Amino acid sequence: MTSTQDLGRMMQQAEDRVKNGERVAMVTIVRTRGSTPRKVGTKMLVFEDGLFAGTVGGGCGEADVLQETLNVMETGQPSLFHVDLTADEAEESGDVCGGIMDVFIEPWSPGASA
Amino acid sequence: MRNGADPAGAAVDHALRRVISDRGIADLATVVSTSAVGPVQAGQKLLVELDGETWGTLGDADLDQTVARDAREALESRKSQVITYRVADVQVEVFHEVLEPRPQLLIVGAGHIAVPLARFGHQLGFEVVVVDDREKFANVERFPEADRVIAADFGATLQDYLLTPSTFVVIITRAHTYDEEALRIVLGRPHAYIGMIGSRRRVQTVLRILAAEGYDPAQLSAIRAPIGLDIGSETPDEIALSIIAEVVAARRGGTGVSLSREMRPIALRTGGEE
Repeated sequence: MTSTQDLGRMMQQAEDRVKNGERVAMVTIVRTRGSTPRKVGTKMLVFEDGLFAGTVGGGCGEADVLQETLNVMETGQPSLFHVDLTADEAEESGDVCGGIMDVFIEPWSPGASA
Repeated sequence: MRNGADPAGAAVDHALRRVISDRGIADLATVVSTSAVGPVQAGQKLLVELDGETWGTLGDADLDQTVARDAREALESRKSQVITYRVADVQVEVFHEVLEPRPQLLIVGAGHIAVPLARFGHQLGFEVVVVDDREKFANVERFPEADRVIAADFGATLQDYLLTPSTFVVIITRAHTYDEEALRIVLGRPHAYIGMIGSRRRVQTVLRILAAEGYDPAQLSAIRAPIGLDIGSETPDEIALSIIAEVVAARRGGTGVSLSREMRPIALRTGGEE
């Protein structure tokens, strides 16, 4: 869940970046199965330089999401991206990773919402 | 919305900003996938407000209508989820995202209880706002965790204050006269909770006066006064804990009763066997 206050702040942040000519994308968890570290509706803002605000994985599966987000910025096409946090790789990083989730990644353009 | 120049996108954007600043609730429906290329495309949005008003389009008028209908349910259950629709032969997945404000803890009075209360409120996910007419008390140094600290007259501040169904009002000023003044102003306006500090006797007197003045008895009996759960609190920290516990119980629908209380007779009955 992202509250409207948090969303408002993220929108402001995105706009500031876009005004500087940077590309920005919004990542939102839209579906989860199992015990994922973050719940449906959680959002993350990703900037062109690879930096981000917020987290959809709490450190889990984030590298894949970031890579896909950079692709989305490149193509300008939104993407529904499947993240499997039950993989061995994720398990190694600790107990907090688990479950499966779909994130929706959308590019942010001037005057854009969410 | 991928293109701000697109009028539908601009309408969504505008309405969304209003919902955010008004502390409103809305369902932001977004197409997240389609099985084939068509007028309905991933990223298109429809914003549905609580009163049913819609902004933007998902690319198909019938789909908009169906999604708006489902939005009503989403807004009632406050549950965000993906729902699959069919438009002609195309399968469309729409994410219904329920947008609602973080609950707000409005602390009226910046005395010694307010300090731990603001800290607890912040920790528990509330947007914390503190009001007091004394600058010496109402300042950011004293309330580093607060989202907003207002140093101004109680009455004037509360008159203009945007109260919503997710505002939890805690009235703990330094004087009963201010408590009463604050209570009069917030009563009858939207809120999730109103609690007021005071001795049983003092609280009773205030409620009687308000009832005699014609305030709605149902509204008066919903006021949590004296404020807080009975945990035998003595120190300011403990009183703040008793208040925030009652606020959380009000938010989540808890009774505030010890979980073991209902178990005790059962434990006693079966105690010999286990």
